[in-house]
Amino acid sequence: MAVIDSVTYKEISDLINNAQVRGNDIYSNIEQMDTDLEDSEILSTNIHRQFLENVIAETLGVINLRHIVYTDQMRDFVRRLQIHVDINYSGTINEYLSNNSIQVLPIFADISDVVGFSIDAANIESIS
Amino acid sequence: MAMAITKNNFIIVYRLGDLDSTDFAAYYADKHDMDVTTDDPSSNSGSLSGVDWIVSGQTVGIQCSNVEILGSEDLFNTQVLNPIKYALENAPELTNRNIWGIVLGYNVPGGFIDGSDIISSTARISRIYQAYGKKGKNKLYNRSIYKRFDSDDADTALICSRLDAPNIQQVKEYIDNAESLNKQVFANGTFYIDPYSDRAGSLADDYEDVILDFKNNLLSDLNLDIWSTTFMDPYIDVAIPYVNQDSFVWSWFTDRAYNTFFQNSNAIRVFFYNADYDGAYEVRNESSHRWVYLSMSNEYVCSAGAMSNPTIEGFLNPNPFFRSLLRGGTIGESYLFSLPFFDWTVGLFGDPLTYCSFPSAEVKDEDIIEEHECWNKMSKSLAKATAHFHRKGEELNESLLKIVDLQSENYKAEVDLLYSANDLFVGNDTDIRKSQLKSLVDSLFDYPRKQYIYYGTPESPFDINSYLTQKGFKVSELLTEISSEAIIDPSNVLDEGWWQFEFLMQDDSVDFINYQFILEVSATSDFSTILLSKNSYQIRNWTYEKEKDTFVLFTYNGVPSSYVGRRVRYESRYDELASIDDYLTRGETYYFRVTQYDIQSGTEYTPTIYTDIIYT
Repeated sequence: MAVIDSVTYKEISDLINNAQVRGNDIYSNIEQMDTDLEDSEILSTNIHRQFLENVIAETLGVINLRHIVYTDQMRDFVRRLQIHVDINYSGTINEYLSNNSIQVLPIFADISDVVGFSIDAANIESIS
Repeated sequence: MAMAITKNNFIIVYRLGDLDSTDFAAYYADKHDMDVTTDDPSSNSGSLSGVDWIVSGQTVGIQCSNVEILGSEDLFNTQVLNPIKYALENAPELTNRNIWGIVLGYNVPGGFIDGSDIISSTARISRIYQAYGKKGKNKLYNRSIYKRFDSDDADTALICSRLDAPNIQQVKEYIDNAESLNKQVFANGTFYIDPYSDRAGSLADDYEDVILDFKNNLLSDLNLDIWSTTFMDPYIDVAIPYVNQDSFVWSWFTDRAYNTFFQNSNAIRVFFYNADYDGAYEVRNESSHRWVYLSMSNEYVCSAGAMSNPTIEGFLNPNPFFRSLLRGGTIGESYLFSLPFFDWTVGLFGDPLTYCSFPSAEVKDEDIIEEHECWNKMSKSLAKATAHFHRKGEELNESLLKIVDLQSENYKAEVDLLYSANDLFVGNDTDIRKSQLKSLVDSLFDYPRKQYIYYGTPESPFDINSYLTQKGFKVSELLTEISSEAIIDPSNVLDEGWWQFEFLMQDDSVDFINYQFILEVSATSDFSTILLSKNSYQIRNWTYEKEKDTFVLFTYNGVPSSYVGRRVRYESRYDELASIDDYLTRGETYYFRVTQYDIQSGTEYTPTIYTDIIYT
């Protein structure tokens, strides 16, 4: 078989999903620093506080671009993975998933959709 | 936001068939613009065990005795408690209202005898829905985190007070005094405080400390003039000689006085409390020289006192009382927060709906984060962000390795995916992590040096290590790896795998209890495999937030329910000799299940599940 085996596909798609979700965790924890400063007794006019707030804002901007939005590398990898299955499996992506009883996680499904491979709801794991 | 208590949440109880008592209820209701009518008299009246009751709007008449202290609990239940409770539960006028407070009016019994004790009717009626439990602890007492009285609190206890006097004219004057305060709003007289007494023993020392704590830490926030007794000798009860232009008195012992104690005052007299053993024994007796009657007949709007010995631990606590009053609480709710025991001897007298403001008083917002605590929290948040970044790199590396390990036909899959998988990993590896977070980590580490530059000297400049050592803080190695150079001393770095789990204590019981906690840690949400299980009864490495940002070690008594909303912490333990290793894997997210239990009954409450990442 030239196509990737179903066990590895599921493992990789889950890892990609989780890695992308971590972007939100990175962002929210840095955002929490800003919230703590906001709620602190340190005066908002304090220049050292203001400097730190500016650095936090700049870092959040970077995190947003590199971890929240789907980066070129992320989209490229998912596109290549789906193209690989599409070409080497005798059927569509959705048939590959359903025939192998694979349910991908929602964020992976969303990236796949963005790169042109829409995944049926039946092949997406619901997160309780 | 929870609804604050209003006059609509109150009922007034009077003695049925007593014209003066009926007159009192109408007078009080009129002053507060309360509802006194009913559309359906037949379904809002009845008889219970031969005692008639009738509800008209917010007034409740009960056919009780006019004896001030009844001979037994049975008599009190039959004549007072049961008819009121029945009316609350069955009269449509009352079942349609949220009743949070009860005023026991003129000539309604004020207590009952139980052995050598006289149980105050207000302390019993507050727990009207619960069975009698003599000297039962008050769950609302001295709560560590302040909140206004609300519907949840009403499930625990109702606000209850007495308005009674030797004659109807006098009780009407009490109501008029309360009206004056509500119109004037501002308390403007002197606060008289007497922290010292001639009582000996550890309980007396404890109560003196309570009053001194109030005097030293909260009293000045009221922004009133203060007159205080000074310590002379442990065997001398230094007393307040008289009061003049006074608004508050808080003292203890010297249990009898005369009208001359109260000199003329233009200031509004708000609340008087003298902690003694029988200051409220009778309030209908003009010649008893006891404090509750004396103070209220000298224009104090409210007072409190004991009908018989409440023991020193049963005395009111000024700290929760004034913390509540300062934040706009009524005297009724403030009293309830300062009362240690229900079904006991201490009672509240006067109009519980009154409240007052303090001139230019500033209320400290408890939600504001102290500046050093803020830095420590930011350090933890940044370490968590870094741990997620670290784990993201590991996940993408795992993904890459899975592709490397594929053995597909003609290496088709490997060829198709390897380069893009590698690109994805490289874009999130350690170097990238460092470059994206370096500026923020450096700025956070440099903040104490810039902010507290004057802490240092030219010979010994203040830096991040001085700061961490001085405050007892440590930082994650994940952050020190990112910083410009190895600027953090190894002694200020947390061990890899060390963790500290923090959660808020939940309100699981209607009654006052002492909690202990079970903390279980698992790698999976179903807790099929429990990696660690820790019981706070073992005490070690468990702390709780006794005051804001101040953590103290657990004791075998656990944590009282008055600390609901405060934080509890468990810190991982590593002890090679004892073969204890709680450390967990860096960057892994774990599930933490917390079960609170009552140490007396062993009852376990519904667990709460959290997740957290190991950031060290």
